[in-house]
Amino acid sequence: MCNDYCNGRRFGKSATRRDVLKTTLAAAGFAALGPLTGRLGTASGAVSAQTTFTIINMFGGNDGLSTVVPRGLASYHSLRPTIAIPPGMELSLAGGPAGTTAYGLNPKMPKTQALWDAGDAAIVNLVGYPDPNLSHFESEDIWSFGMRNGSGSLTTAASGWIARYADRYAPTSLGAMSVGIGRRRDFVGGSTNPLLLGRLSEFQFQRDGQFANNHLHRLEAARQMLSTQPTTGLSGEARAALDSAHQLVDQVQAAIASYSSTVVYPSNSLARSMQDIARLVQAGFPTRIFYTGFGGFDTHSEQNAVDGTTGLLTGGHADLMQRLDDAVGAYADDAKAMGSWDRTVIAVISEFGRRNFENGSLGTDHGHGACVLLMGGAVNGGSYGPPMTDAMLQEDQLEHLVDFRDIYREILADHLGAGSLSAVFPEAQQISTTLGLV
Amino acid sequence: MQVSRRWDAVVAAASFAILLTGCGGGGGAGPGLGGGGGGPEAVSLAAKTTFTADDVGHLLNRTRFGPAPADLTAVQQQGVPLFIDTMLVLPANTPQEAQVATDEIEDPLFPQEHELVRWWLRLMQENPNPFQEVLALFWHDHFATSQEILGGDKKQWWLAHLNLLRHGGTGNLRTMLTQLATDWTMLEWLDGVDSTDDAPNENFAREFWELFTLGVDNGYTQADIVQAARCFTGYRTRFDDVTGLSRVEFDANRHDTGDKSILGQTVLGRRGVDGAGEYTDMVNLTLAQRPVAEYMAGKLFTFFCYPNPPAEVTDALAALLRASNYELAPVIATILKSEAFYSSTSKAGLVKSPAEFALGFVRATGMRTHMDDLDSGLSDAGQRPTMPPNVNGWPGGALWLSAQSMVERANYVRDCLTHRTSETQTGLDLRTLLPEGATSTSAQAVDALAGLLRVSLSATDRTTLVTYLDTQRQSNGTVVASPFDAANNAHITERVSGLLYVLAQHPTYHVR
Repeated sequence: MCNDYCNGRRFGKSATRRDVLKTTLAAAGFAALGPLTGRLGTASGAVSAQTTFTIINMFGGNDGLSTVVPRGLASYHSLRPTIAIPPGMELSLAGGPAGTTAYGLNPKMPKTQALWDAGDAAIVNLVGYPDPNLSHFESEDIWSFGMRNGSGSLTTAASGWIARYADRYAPTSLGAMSVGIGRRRDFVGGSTNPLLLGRLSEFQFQRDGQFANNHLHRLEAARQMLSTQPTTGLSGEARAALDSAHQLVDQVQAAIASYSSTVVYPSNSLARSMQDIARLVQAGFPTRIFYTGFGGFDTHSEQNAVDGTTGLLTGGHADLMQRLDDAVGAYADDAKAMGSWDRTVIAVISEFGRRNFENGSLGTDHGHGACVLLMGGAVNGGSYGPPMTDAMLQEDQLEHLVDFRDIYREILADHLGAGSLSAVFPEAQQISTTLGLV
Repeated sequence: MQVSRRWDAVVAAASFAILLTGCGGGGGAGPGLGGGGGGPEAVSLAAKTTFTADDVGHLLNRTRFGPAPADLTAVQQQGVPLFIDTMLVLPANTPQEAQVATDEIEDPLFPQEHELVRWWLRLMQENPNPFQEVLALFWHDHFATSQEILGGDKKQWWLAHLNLLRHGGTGNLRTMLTQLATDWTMLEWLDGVDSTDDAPNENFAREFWELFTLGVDNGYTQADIVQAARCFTGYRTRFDDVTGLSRVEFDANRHDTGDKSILGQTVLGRRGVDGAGEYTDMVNLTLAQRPVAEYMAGKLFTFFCYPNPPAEVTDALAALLRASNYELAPVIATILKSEAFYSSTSKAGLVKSPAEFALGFVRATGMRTHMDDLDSGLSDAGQRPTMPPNVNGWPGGALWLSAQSMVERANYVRDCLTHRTSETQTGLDLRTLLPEGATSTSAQAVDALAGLLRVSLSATDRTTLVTYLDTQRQSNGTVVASPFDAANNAHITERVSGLLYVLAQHPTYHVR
């Protein structure tokens, strides 16, 4: 199961469900509709002056209660007798301009704590959507489409929310981009044809190892041949796609070549993706939304334990928190160095949270609401959403008291400067909250 | 349940020959056919009588992942009509099929995900009748299921599922629908194994009509779906402790035995093991009561010829399908032999899918690629066979054309050329593709390889490519004259390989 999340592929039984089906006629965010020429987008070569929104998806359902710890709630400890973060081990959020003693951070997140202290991090608790679904696939689709009531409203949506945003507010191939995780349903539909990349370094015309000169020679011949092709008809559309391919490869490879930074990124997949995003920002890509993520959050077993010898937190979830913290910390340093941090908002999301009580395997099963983390110079640091209570924890699942689309909506409007979002999030919501996140 | 023979009766009353000639054949468009677009031949289902070399190339492009040199010889020997009739015969359980399975699947009881992909890719690459795989890919896209749904002890179900499509592709539509309704992979994929009398699952009932037989909202209601779902109840999975494998079986206790009212008809409830017969009843009822033939005729014509065919065409093909009691071969043969198939409207092109692009390249050049290259190439390009994105299959057509996919296609060709192997693992000698071998000129090389790939070159293109062969790029970036010498192994390895690489980026090579 983990592999599905780790490599970002989206197949499976959920894909047969009704609400997904409707989207597929226009699906494939990598699709080109109409001429591509002129809709490519161009990197400026200087650090992007635009505001950016980066989404980090923790695939598999993150345990929010181990991420942002409700340290003062007795039920947290009684329901999780072996996996709760022990009292005093959590990192304090009392510092900074919006300090709180109600919550603490996972002990593996010191860099996030530093951002909090600087007023550059926020937590939103109890985030979700109505009528929660415990299937990874269904729940991820709901987040990707930005729609809860599939079969009714998807007829008009028929696309991911990023595709709808890009069509209206960033209509070039570079306007919104997936990095390090390949194709995602957030990008499907629409007509903008966003670039969905694995590693930047792999987005090129692979050379023939032994014949470097000949490889350049044949590429030149291909470009010359393309330059004289007709632009009409179906083969004209093929030419446009081929032209775009050459232009985009050039831009991405130029971004890699020109990147300069003194920041040392850790060697995990999220960190590599974050550094790729830094390369694109530094090269002036006109990208407004970056989407990346990493997997392993389906922590049904052995997620947390305190090492008897070292007294340190260990376990699968703890390792993931450290990777997240290291990657975001490095990106923050890089963005500050290049002067883009104040134009940055990062949202750390997951398809759902986990049960309030631990299971018999030192883990937690699928749950409902969970926290979303925000980082960036443009974030209004602090804690958002209704306070968590003991009574809430006594239920099996945390309910959702903040709709995830309100977070997206505020960031798109107040940070990216989007106008009307009624076509991006067309569905009526049960709960609507003004948060003031950015 | 009694099945109405209404449609068959109508068709039987009509003379089949008149039906087809009435469709604008014989050069004169019949009344009401003039508005079809693309001229009378574009809508005529009358059999074409003479075939140009371009016609033959077009036929091969659409029916076997593109022309291979041996195919041209076969057409010349047999003539087009016989060649078509021959390829419509789809053999089952051939020695080759068995050998490929043995080669690619280590444990047939527990096949791995990639092994199932590669098993089929090998067949696509090596089946002497590639039409069997082209058509199976069409059906796989139409009745889209993904092996992703099958866990380790169920993976082997996929072999039977795919073979149902591979062996039955030109068989009987009624048979195929009936088999698919109780196919284990399909039952798992669309929740049939969880559909019980207490809680009938509507997933299969809905897709059966919406995607497989009628089209969305075409003659059924939500109330029909609810009732039809009651027919589709009773199958369940069982894990066999002895074999360690899961299987699917009909459990009469889970079947809804009540009468159902569907599409204005009553389906009498069946009891006991006979309950499974309601799956067949549903297929028969749908074929009898609704325009399944029109829907399927439109899909087949669109796949082979061009999208949005006029109603005259689909109506005539649908009548033929009913007249033959849903035998598919006569309909497919009629399409492939028709004036419409060879019309300029049809030849205006369809976008190649990644599989058509990749398989076309290896078949035309005679390469035997590593399955790694083929598998990863198609995965990167978004069309990994056996794993469509959802029940609606792959979004196709112009949606396949994107900058990203063009990079992936070029890299696939690069991998083929760099890793090329032959059946004897000695490497494909690209010189054998040249008309005069070691004495071929640059112009002969360009013309031969463009012809091989069926790329249309302008005079300017030809000059560009001949110049490419007759020059050399130096490390400092300057390009100097260096006449092509087909006897020079380095020229073959670098330049002829490079020529194929460039030709594969010609826009016309992305259109079939």
